[in-house]
Amino acid sequence: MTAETRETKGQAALREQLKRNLSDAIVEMEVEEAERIAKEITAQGLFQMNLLETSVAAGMAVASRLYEEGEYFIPELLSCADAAEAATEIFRPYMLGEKPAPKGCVVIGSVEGDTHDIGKNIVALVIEAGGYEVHDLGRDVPASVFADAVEAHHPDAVALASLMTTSMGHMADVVQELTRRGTRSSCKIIIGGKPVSTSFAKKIGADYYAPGAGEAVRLLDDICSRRS
Amino acid sequence: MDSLTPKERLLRSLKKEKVDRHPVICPGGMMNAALTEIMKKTGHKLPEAHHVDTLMRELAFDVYENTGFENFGIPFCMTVEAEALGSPIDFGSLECEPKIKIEAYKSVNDVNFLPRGTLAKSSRVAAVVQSLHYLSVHHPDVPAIGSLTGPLSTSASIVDPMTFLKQLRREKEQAHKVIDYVTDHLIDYAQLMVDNGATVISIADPTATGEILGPKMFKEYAVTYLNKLADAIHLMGVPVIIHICGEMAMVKPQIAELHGDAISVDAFVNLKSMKEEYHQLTTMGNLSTYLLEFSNPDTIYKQSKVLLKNNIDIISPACGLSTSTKLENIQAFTTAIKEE
Repeated sequence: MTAETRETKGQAALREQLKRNLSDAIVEMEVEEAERIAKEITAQGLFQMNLLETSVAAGMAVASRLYEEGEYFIPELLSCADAAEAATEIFRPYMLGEKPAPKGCVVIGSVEGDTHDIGKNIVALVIEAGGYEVHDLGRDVPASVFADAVEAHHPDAVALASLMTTSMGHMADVVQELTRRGTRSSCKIIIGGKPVSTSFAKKIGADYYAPGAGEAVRLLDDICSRRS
Repeated sequence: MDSLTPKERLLRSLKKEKVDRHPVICPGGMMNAALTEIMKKTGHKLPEAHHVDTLMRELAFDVYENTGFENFGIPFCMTVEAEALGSPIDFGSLECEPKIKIEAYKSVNDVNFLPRGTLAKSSRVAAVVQSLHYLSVHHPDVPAIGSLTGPLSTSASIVDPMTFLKQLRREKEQAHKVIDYVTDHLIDYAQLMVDNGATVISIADPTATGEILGPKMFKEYAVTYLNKLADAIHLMGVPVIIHICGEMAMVKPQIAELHGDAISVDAFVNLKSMKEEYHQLTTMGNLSTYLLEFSNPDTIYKQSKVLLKNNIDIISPACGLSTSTKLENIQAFTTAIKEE
């Protein structure tokens, strides 16, 4: 065995170790530690594109699962996302424009009249961690802005959030606006939020209701696998 | 026939004393009943009534008279406190409640600690307090409820909420400092309300839910500061209602630690079983606001009777009402309770 291959093996083992450490740091919400490990990976020349999937996304997947299981709550999940983001920031210059192909594309936002977006932000985060390209339009978003985003991004799905009974009616406006512009059939519409339900989704002509972030990802996986 | 005034009935219910029948109330603030139908009928309208004390008190009276709720509930939003502490407000419209335009601070580390007494200088606090004073003097038999936005919700209305939630974990010391500061201002505001005739103070804290915070942080932050606020109000000689939003299976033991004289809960919570589990709790709630908006008077009437059957101490909507809720639906609700 040559020195060179031994070194490569050693590097591979180190990469494997750092990959696990980074994933753990994300799950443990250790922002500075995640950043430090990411820096070590790049400084040692160990960065590979697949680390985004096997380390960063893998850590967020564990965090999302812990959130769904009621082990983590919103402050914890947001802190995991911060750690993941800190590592990704370090990796960014090394990505050289490459990006792992997303599983699909999602436009998400809280509908007009609704300024609550903690729940929507969590769903956006979990969907992104689930491997999707996410365009978050923010809160209090008018129907026309959703329709513009559909034309700009050609998403597989549009996810509409509403926490209030006062604003849930505006979900129907989005469905109608897409219909009016002839883009309704180009994507699926998923609705979510405290006051809405499957029957409400049916009533307004949306495709699905997702009671939580995990369910939204499962629905998207289903939508995108059927598409391909 | 009623032998107690609405005020006596509510105060006795809050002390767990015997009453002639259950009270049915809607405390104001996040849970206000300023329906568009009422405002169009009377001409006392939002958003103007968020600012002008005469309009505010007239609207509170219109709500009382039209809905059948047995109280005055003031104000009609949850932005008074945050505005006084620096966040700009979008006052919304007839249909849409006011909202925070943008939180005053990006982080708990940026908060500029304003001196005690700051809220007393706010024109909207003045409108609220003057309305309470007028109503309590002119209608002494009707409880005038002053509604507060709770410590965590107010904090998350002056500091960017996503950052704030993370900082509850990562920057505990500063987060505590900010929430404690906010709580002190809320105590000052409650004192102004009580000095001007508020019969009861109701606190709604929708950011302080078990679903958002989980049991550990709910105890560390929500229970700590809600209790600090409630204890201070008790020293003023006035009872306190605490409303907790959302599902709370996760934080049931912590709910029992709250010092509210009544605990008001969302529609998902089974108040009957909660009552059985925690005898000492005075329960308040919880007719679904979804039902009130989308159902019909018959169904609402029947569902209201279920609350009576379950002997919920104080009957009220489960959470914030939609402004487009039909008045006849609310009337079916209050009638069902008053017929007891």
